[in-house]
Amino acid sequence: MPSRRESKPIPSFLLSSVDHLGRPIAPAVLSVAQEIAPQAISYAEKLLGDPAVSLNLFEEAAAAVSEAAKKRAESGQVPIRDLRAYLFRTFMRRISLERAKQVGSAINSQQFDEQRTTTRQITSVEMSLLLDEVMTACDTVTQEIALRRLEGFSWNEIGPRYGMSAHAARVRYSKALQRLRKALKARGIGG
Amino acid sequence: MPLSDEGRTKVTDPFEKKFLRILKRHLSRDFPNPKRIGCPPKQQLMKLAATPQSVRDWVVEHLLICSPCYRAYSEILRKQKTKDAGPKKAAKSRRAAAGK
Repeated sequence: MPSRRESKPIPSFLLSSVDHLGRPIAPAVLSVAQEIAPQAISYAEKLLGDPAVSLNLFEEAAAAVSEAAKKRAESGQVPIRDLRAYLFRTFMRRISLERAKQVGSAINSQQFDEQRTTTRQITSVEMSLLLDEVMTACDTVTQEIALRRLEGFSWNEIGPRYGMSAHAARVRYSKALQRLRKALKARGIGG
Repeated sequence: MPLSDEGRTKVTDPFEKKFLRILKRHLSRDFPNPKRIGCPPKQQLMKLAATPQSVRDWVVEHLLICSPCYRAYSEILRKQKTKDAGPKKAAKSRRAAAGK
């Protein structure tokens, strides 16, 4: 028997250039998707409990991003600035929808105790997804402000680091919190 | 505004408290990344803590999807905060001593 514990390796994912609905994934999106797939899919697997479903959703998200990028190019709009972040956000939304479906089916199963536990778990999963959505929708300065806030930095310490007043830093962060509050309210999760 | 007072370190708003608690737990646990795919070097994290504007956006974005990097950055910020608080405390105690 081996004396050392072997760590479980992250599987490498070979994404298809077409999603399961037959929609093509653009080469640029595919290369970005390939890059973030191990992390994104293992994260989704933890939430959804099924690697195949996670992979399908990821390919769906990549196809949707390809379509969006194509439409933007055709209509002469500004191209997507950060494909990686855009794809990640799309994937998060897709997972969120899938989780909502799972909640629906859990409610139909009429197992009251189990349902209560599931709802509690889903609330925390939903909260994590919402946090991801809200955080990734913020600009990097606001993201960094939140990270410093997590470590207990005061507004007077945060503001000058970014060449702004303490009040300006506080307002930026407050807007992000407001967005989260609204999103929680819209989804019926207590905030 | 539902936030704590300007200049104060302590978070008083319950919603913000909850937000920070869940966000911290989420960022430090939910993105294991054992192979450290796409991680920036530690110097970049130190640079981000010292002069945030000199670091490229992807480094901050990466911190939101990689728990090991987030934990490392969190540690750097904690050290920075302690270091910054040191001279302030000393100055305060000097002022208090002079006032006697």
